[in-house]
Amino acid sequence: MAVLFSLFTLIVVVSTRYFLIPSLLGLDSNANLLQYLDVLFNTPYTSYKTLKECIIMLNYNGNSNLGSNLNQAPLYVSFFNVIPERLHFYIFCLFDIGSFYYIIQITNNRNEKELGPNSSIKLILYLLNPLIYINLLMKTTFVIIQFCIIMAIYHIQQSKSTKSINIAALMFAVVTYLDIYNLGLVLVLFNFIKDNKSLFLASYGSVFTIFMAVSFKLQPTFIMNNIVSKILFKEQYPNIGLWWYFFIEMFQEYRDFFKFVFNCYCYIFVLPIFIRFKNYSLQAFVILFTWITAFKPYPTIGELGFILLVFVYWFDLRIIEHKLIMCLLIIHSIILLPVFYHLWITIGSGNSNFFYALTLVYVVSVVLILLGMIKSVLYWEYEDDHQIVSTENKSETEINKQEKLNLVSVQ
Amino acid sequence: MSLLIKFINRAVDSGLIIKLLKKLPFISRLLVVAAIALIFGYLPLDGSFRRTYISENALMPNQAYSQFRETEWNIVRGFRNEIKDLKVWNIDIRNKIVSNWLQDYSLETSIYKTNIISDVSGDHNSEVLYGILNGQRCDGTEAMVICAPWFNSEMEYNVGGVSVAIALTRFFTNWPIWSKNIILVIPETPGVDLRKWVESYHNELKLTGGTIESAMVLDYPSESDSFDYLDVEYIGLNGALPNLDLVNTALHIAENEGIKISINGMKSFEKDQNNFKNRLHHISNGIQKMAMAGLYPLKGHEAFSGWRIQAITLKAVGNSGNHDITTFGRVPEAVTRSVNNLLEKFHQSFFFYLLLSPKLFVSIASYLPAAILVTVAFAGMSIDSLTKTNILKNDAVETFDFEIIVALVFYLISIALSLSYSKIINLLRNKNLNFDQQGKFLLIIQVFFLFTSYMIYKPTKKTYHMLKSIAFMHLSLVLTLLLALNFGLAFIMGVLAFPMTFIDFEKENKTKQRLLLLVSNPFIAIFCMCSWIEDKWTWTIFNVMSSSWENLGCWTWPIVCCSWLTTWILLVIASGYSPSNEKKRM
Amino acid sequence: MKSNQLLKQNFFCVFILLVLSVFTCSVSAETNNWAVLVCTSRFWFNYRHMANTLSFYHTVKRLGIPDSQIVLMLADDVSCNSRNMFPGSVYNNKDHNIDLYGVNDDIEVDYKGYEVTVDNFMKILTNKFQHQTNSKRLLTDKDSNIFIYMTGHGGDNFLKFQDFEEIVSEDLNMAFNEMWLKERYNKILFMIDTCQANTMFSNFDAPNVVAIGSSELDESSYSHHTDMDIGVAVIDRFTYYVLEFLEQNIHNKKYDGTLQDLYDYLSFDKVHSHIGYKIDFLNKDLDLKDIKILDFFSQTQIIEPIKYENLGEASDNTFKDLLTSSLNHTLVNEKIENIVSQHAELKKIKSFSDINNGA
Repeated sequence: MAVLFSLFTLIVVVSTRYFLIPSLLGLDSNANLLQYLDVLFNTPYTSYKTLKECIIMLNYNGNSNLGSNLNQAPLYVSFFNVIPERLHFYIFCLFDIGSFYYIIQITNNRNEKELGPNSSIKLILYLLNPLIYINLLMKTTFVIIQFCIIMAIYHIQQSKSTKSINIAALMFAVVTYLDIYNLGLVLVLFNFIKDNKSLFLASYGSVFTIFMAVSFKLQPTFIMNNIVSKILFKEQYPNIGLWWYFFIEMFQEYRDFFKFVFNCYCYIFVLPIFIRFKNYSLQAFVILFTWITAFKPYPTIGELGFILLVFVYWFDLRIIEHKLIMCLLIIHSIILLPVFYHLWITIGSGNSNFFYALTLVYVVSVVLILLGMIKSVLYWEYEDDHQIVSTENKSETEINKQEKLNLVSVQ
Repeated sequence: MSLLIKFINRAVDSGLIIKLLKKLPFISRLLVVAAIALIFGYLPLDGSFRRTYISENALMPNQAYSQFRETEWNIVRGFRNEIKDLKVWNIDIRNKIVSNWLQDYSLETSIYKTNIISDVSGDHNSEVLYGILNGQRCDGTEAMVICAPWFNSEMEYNVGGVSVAIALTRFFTNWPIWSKNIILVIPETPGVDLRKWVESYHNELKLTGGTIESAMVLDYPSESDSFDYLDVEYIGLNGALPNLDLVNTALHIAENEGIKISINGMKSFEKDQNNFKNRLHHISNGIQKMAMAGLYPLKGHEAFSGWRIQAITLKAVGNSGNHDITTFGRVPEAVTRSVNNLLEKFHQSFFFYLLLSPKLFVSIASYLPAAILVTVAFAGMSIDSLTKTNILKNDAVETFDFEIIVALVFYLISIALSLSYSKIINLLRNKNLNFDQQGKFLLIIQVFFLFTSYMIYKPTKKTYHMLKSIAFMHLSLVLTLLLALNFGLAFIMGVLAFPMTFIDFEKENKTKQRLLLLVSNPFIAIFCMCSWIEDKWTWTIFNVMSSSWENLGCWTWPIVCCSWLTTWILLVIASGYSPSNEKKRM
Repeated sequence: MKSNQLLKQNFFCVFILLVLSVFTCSVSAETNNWAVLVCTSRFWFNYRHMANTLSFYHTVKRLGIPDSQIVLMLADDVSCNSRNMFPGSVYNNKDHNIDLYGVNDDIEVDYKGYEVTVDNFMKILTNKFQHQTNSKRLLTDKDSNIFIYMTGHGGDNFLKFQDFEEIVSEDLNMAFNEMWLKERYNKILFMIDTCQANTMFSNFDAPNVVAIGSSELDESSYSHHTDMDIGVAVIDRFTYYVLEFLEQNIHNKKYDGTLQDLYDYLSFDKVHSHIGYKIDFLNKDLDLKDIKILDFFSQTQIIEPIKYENLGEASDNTFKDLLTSSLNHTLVNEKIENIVSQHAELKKIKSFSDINNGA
């Protein structure tokens, strides 16, 4: 009976998630409501539109030395070139299913501290997460990056066997290959591995080099078009990050300086986070990922979807303060961002300042999440150091005080 | 940020927050009252508004002689006689004849054919004739539209408007000064067919004249030589307003010609702008028009909103008065000349404003707080309910228990239900009911739903509060979304849904709560408001809303359905709760 | 053979130098007067700025500065704007009496459109061109008087160039100081017609600069009138009345009015703003009334007589040859030549101005 029920649920979920809603919305994202969310989920380096553009260019002229707007990684393009276009969405769906499966796997062998909701609720949380779902509908590169990250973490957690280390290295090579800004995360991955570190490094290094070499062979311009132009912010489109405004609205003279500073800022905490949270490798990974997402040149809301998901999964929500403020900030900024973008770009009655102000609000909310994460980890550390087991020892007054606090914040 | 957090922590420590949280419903209601007071009490007060001015240097209205004078008088009259005779013909013949005239004046013309599938006015074919006057020395990338529909929004034959438009275009052909192309558009009506033309102008039309910067719709239905006053309509669809500079330019020019001016059909010239009551009248009318744009017969300018086109309608009212028909023509002439001076686009001035008289305005910074207050009020109600569910407290380890999931599922159901509601009119259309009956039927469904649903499902206390919380949060978020897009709609929806905040099913007096729910039902509230404004029963309003969504892309219908209605349905589901039941369950 | 030629050339050069030095030394201080006229704003609605500058161009030319010594900078070409009802013409008055673009068809615009930049303007003043240039240069010397006129949209301490950059008063002051060090001028008359114009020169400390501006801090400069046919304002008040003054008073080169007269003429009820001035002379305590207007505007040079007979019979031909070979391209020298040939007995040439006045 239970099996039948779960089978039934599975069918319902799969059919609505992957068939019903997409067909209701129509797969062409330019023709439906999703076009208004374009600025949130798509950047030149992740959008399906540029992927299609790259595929067309690839077929148009095999060596594709054409132009600087082929912003997608060549292997990624070649992979989707092989698959007929109407099946593309289902490939993304497969990756989505994969990340769903592995994230449940990771959560099931969780740390006992992470007293979150049980896994059936988590199931629902993944499925109901609108950001991850819209990201899937938009068919952005991040769907695949997300899968690879999750799979890499899953395998690296079982770092006993050589095979899983190799898989993790492979997956992570894909992650860094698709978005070079994830490079810093490699360092944090070493936290997971007790021994065999050199094996991981070697296999990661070799796979990544092979990817680069093959891509270079396929399309020599990809280093300029994909990596360098991302780092130097060559594609000047507005997005939800902090960068674009400076390079659209600022004086020419300061741009190089700002590019330097911003890149530094994005990477300045790789080492500190690596060292400080050595014992909480999973959390350190997420914290660093959040940091980089907040300050990299081309962030998307899809990444926030992933962050929110693992935030609920892998951190102790009870310790984190101001959840209500956090929620309201995130929801309002996500709602207002496309509105102001629409006012600026389509209707022409607003201007870029409104939109940028909202991106600032958005980044503040991401930083609040980051603070929550760090607080949660530090609290665990404190507990571990001082051998505090539970709240039962607390005196009456403390509990009273805590109840008061709970109304707004959770301590 | 840390300062803020510190402040919040301190506030929590002192117990202030808890006190505030207990008072939250009261504060929310206070905020709505404050919002209403801000709009209707504060804004019309002396000192809170400003005088309008032309902020774009390039426009330079009234710096050139208007030449559309006595020399053109006989030409206008000649066209008018011809056009008077054309009334008996069908649109295609009329268009063919006029098209020949225009070609004689070296305009490139084309006829756009469209098929209108309309719920209200029925399916029919229609044509739009348009001609492009290519400026002698212009680069052809920009254009100005002069539009005169054959029939105006009251379905009167627009003799004067069409003849002035044609005579004016003919007159313009003699000038060497155009830096933008001039497009003359003559649709059958100023409604759906004009909108379709604008749409296809931006998509598929072969003959185009560059991006349209501005559009003027001329409406002069009388056959008389003179008219009483000039009415300027400017409020577009979906809260889009033309740049204030264009409205100012038109009003400024008209006033310079000595014409009595009025905005939004308010007969402003009769009203002293130094009077509080008159300003209040203008502002409330403006907000109401902003909210209801697209639900009345279109004046014409609405058809242009959405493509960065600044559009206004110039309507000559009356047939006595001492203003000549060429005086009417001089207004579009001078506006065209002003816009012709423009470089790039309208950008200096305001896109968000409310007019308190033809010469007084308030900008967004003054009136937007009102709408923000309303959304904050609903968010406050939501937080109030949320605190009552205890999920913010942390001793509940299971944040997501069954009762809350039930509420979430109901939320999804009500969204689905309200989405399907937007299609319900289409279902009704196939039945053998006329429009009035359809409207009545829809209203009866509401009442029926309200008074039966509580018998089916009775939520627990936690679910009840959760449902309320979700409902108010949903409305608050949609209002936030609408804030900058369509202030009028956001504000009016907020105010009409205000009675919802009083609903409290923890009280035993159910009838009062249900009455509140009845009053705040979107359909009933909108119906009552429209009937009050029009001073008659407007049963067809829902059909109009639905069809203007389908044909014109006017958001009002889907937004009402997907926000207000969703909230209302959630509250109706919650209405099954009663404390006595809860006790029994214990 | 070759060396012989070289020798000859050298000899010739030395000779010319010798003669030229005699010639220039003999000319008094004001041969080399220049005017720099700048209109800094683009766009059709700034028609009046172009008209201002062109009007000054014509006046300055009428008063005697030749085209070769006027640097005219116009940021836009309104005459060819498609909005212009009279294509190819610019008027500064609604009576359409003078077509500023059509008078004798002799307009020389030296810097036009996007060439009018702060950078170019500074280069012209300081003569610091990085490379060889074909553009007009300001070739002044330590005896030159320069008239600089600027118009456009300005604010507190700045004047907008085109729509994307501005010059601040410190820039100008720096340039003037540099010019002074390089001995590029004797006196400068700096005239500026913008909003808050007086702020542009209130901090000047370059010597020998007289600055006159059209309006005080927080004050606008207004246009004089609108041409209802063209549909724009055609001239600014300040410029209009300066020109009116110059037209009404200066009929010949003997006019000896001072800047004080001009200053008094531009009263508030004419200009509708408070005009201001700043005057700063090295080691001298001069005021507006000590400076003659024509010092700047014209070429009323008094030239010392050349002792013709001193050259002797033998050098008579040499002098003649010299004139024909190297200098006869100017009208003035042609006249000298005529006089020399026709009236050989004439001992003395009074002055060039006399010649100009119809000798």
